[in-house]
Amino acid sequence: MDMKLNAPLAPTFGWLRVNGTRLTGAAVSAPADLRAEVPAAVQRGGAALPALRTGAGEDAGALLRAAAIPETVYTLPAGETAEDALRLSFSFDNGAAADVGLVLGRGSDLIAVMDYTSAEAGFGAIRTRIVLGDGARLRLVQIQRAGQGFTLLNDIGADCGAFARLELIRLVLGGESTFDGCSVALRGDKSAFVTEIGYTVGGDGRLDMNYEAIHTGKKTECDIRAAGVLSERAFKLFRGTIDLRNGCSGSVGNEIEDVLLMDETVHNQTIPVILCAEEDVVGNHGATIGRLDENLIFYLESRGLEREQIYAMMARARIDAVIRRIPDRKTVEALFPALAEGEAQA
Amino acid sequence: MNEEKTYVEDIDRSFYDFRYEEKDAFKVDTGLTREIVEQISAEKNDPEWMRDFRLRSLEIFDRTPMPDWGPSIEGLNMENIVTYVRPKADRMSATWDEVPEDIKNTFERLGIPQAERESLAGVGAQYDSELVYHNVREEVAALGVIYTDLESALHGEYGEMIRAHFMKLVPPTDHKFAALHGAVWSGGSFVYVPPRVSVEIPLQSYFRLNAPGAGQFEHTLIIVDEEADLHFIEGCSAPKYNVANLHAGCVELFVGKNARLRYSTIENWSKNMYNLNTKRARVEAGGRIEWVSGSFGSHVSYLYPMSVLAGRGARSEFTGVTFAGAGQNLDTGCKVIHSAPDTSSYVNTRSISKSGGISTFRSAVVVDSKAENSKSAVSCQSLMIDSDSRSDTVPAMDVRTDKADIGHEARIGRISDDAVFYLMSRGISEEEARALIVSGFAENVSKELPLEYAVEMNNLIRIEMKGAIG
Repeated sequence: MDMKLNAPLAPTFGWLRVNGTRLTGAAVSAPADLRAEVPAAVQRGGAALPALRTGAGEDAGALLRAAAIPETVYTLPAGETAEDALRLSFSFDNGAAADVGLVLGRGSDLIAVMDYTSAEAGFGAIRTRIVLGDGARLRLVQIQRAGQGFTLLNDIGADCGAFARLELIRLVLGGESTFDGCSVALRGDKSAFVTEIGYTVGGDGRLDMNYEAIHTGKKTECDIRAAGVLSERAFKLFRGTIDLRNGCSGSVGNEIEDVLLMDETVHNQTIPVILCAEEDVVGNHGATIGRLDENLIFYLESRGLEREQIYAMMARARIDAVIRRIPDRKTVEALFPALAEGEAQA
Repeated sequence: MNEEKTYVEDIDRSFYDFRYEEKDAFKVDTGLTREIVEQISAEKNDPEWMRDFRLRSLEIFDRTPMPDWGPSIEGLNMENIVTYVRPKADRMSATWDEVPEDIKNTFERLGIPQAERESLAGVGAQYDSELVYHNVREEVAALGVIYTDLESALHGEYGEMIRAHFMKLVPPTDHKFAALHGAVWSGGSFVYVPPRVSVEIPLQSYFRLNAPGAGQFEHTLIIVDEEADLHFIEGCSAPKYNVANLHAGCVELFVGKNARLRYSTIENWSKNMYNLNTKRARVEAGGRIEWVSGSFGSHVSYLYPMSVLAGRGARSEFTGVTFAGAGQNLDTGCKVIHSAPDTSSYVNTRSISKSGGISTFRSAVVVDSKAENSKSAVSCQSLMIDSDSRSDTVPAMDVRTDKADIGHEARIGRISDDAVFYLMSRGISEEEARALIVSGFAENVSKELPLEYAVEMNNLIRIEMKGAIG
């Protein structure tokens, strides 16, 4: 299937080639292997998921529909707080896909961890649709540790009711090519979307992201923070859009990206967008792209560290900072040794 | 205070919105055909290479799609546009007395001859498709500075220099309206500043489009040689008609080694204008381009001056303000290409939206793999005056080396109620207070302009802010 993925809400100069990315020849045919740890309060199944805008776009949904990938829905009823995290570990073979729904009733609270591993090479796709009732809170962690020759499409669409809060931690630690889409509708008044994105891309890896926060409710908030490291011949494109629509008075949108470039052959594109059709709002975005501060390097060199050690340490620190924010201790404890093992092998 | 308010009310938009019948003018048919392009070429007595260039550009125009990413230009139908209008002046003059009365009156009302007497080293005045006046002070000419109309220069001793530079920075293949420009360009100025010559006071070109349904396609070519220095000011306006007008000019600036060029623009086209202008500068080692841009007019604008930092240590500064009011969709910003080591760029913009106006800041900073140790800082701030309006910020950064430091920050917000309250407590009306705050918000541009132009810009802001309350 030929797909156009991650088309931003506001396209820009055509010659930059950032108005969506073409992915040709991708196909899925079977559900990905899933190992699930489901806390007692969470129910499998639920009502059919609504049509939600996702970050990757309609072609991603069409890909799953064409292969009749079944929906896997987890529902937390109103007023419930899950005692433990919902842990979903997906293993993707070539052509594997998953279509997940997370539905939280009014005033409920859930931590969900989705961990992706894969075959060494191939293509897989996963879509997560999220419906948060009024006052619900979802803390969602998505960790990608796909194989070095694997291409993964990870797509999120979310709808937040009044006072609902989506906190997303997204870690991209592996895979050759990753298409990462996320669109969050802040429909209810005082709803919020907070995301921390951490990535490290090396070799010939590609990371193509499209994050959107669409504010329609009053006094809504979003905070999109991305921090990452590019090395060797890596390519990364980050599109982040704060869309402050007419009627969302009192809303605030913040967005920041910090990219550390490790090698002269990397390629970084950053498109931080604010769209604003409401007077009584505040939108901020910032980006810092480059190398480490020379004063910092000088200081650390004076303490006996080699320049390569300094860069490796600072790169790891960025990822660790995101990992520490993961609200599930079991996941954190598993992740640090896995990272250390990966570094030792490298 | 009362006197001051009367002054503001006196200079309403009719200051720019007067018109004269163009009964004696010659114009080509509407639309764009090979015959029309050949007719314009014949009118211009083009050398053969230019005629061929025009026809090649037309072919490129025909096969190039409309842009699919910016404001809608559906209201612009090339079939209805007259691409060449020659005013009744039968030749360009070097004294205002020889300019036809109504055209001279137009520029008198716009204050151009007065500005020339008081604060400019030279002036070019274009009316519709042709320059009607061009003059440069003797002492500036004595330095070897060439400031003339492009068409005369094309046929004179600088013909080869123009051929070597004309549409080399902005080739017709760049986009559809660059191709259109290549096919039907007419008028515009040529400036050459010899090495190590510093022009102490600015040169100015003023473009006035009087004919309804017409396009203006002037070409400005400026070459500032090594270690030379120039400030060039561009102004433009038009009366408002109920049919679409089109401006698709082209500005090509060549800044030599260690040279400096400041290019200032106060754009105040009428609000039926599609302003699809292209501006580009190439800066050699140690050179510096400074863009100062105020965008107030037009119905739709696509305007992104580009700096190509081609030599080591080249530098670009862009300072801009955009004010979008009712019926306006102004998509403005800049582009910077760092393609040499140690280059730097600084972008500082403000945009204001009110009464349903749409203002978009759009930028691209590209740092290629050769641009080691380059730095770029982009700062854009937007002010929303009401919720009928819209303000978007669409920056892009494309970095292909690890040895660069790129920073970007943007903020969208509203006028602080506290600031308005403070000013009102000092006896200023709410309308005046808001106008004052907006003028202060746009200070980044006004402080970079010569005083007379800063005053004009602030007056434009106050005109636009009238009636902003309630």
